[in-house]
Amino acid sequence: MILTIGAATWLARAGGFYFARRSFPPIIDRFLSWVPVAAFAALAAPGLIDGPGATSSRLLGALATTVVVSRAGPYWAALLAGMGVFWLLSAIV
Amino acid sequence: MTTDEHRASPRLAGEQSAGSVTRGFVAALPLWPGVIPFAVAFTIAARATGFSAVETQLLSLTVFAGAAQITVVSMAASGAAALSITFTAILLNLRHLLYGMVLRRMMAPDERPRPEISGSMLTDEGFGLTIRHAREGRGISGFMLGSGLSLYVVWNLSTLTGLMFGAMLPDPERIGLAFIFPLTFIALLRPLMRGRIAFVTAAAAALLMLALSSFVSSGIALPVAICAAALLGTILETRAGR
Repeated sequence: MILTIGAATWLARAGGFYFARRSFPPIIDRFLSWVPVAAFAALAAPGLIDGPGATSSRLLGALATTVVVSRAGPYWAALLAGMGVFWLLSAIV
Repeated sequence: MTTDEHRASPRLAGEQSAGSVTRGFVAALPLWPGVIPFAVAFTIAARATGFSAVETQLLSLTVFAGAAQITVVSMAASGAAALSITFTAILLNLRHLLYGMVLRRMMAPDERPRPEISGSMLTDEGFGLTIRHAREGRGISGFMLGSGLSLYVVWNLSTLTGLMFGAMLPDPERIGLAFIFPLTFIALLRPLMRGRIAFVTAAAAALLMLALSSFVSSGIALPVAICAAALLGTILETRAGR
């Protein structure tokens, strides 16, 4: 069972690259261009709404991360700022 | 000569990718603190469900996907049949097909990705980091391999650590390290938020994900939410373009 799942997962990981090798109609490319926005939003949402600590701590932590990224701060600094605010508020509240 | 050109370009690509493998590896380091407790939590759950140490490590080595591994363990715990566990886990990991297609379309026409290796450790997080890297106009394959390898190493070492010291480790839930993951995706999303359609697409994806998650497992909800929201973005952009 484990090896079957592993093999199928590997096929899914590598397979997309092979599918996308030939040229697509522009509408498919347009669809694929929206996948990152949709994926990142869908991946972020659950942990933001229902995660560790208080909701307010998480939202303000997320805000701190957004601010650092918006000011072209490095990605690790954005994570650090977000976790810092989250931990600080979690300690106070 | 044609043959020389043929030889020169892969060698050049190879030299470039050695640096980008390292860059990818380093770029994923900030995620390690989030990965470690996640892998340990998985390990403890797997052992408690009756998976042997070898089976648990084999899951991390071959499947290497947190959500799928947790699902395998929790379905086994509730007595599901092996066939239905296998089917569900494969369904969960089909979203990687979409990631591979997106990344392939972002590659330069002359890039030879060898995805059976460079894409073999692709994850949600690795996909995100690689997208960010690609938007800076740099080669994809090496970075993707490096970031995947980085997460693969820490995921498997943490599984091993969990197997050896599981009961002695502190409860990672208390310090909330899992919050690194949503923060990561927010940091990756922010630069893509240009224009009304991007906001609508992101909002739709987030709301759909939350709504669907209350009916089906998050691994099923995720690809549905991604496809539906990306379709919405496509429709809005097509209509705006007319």
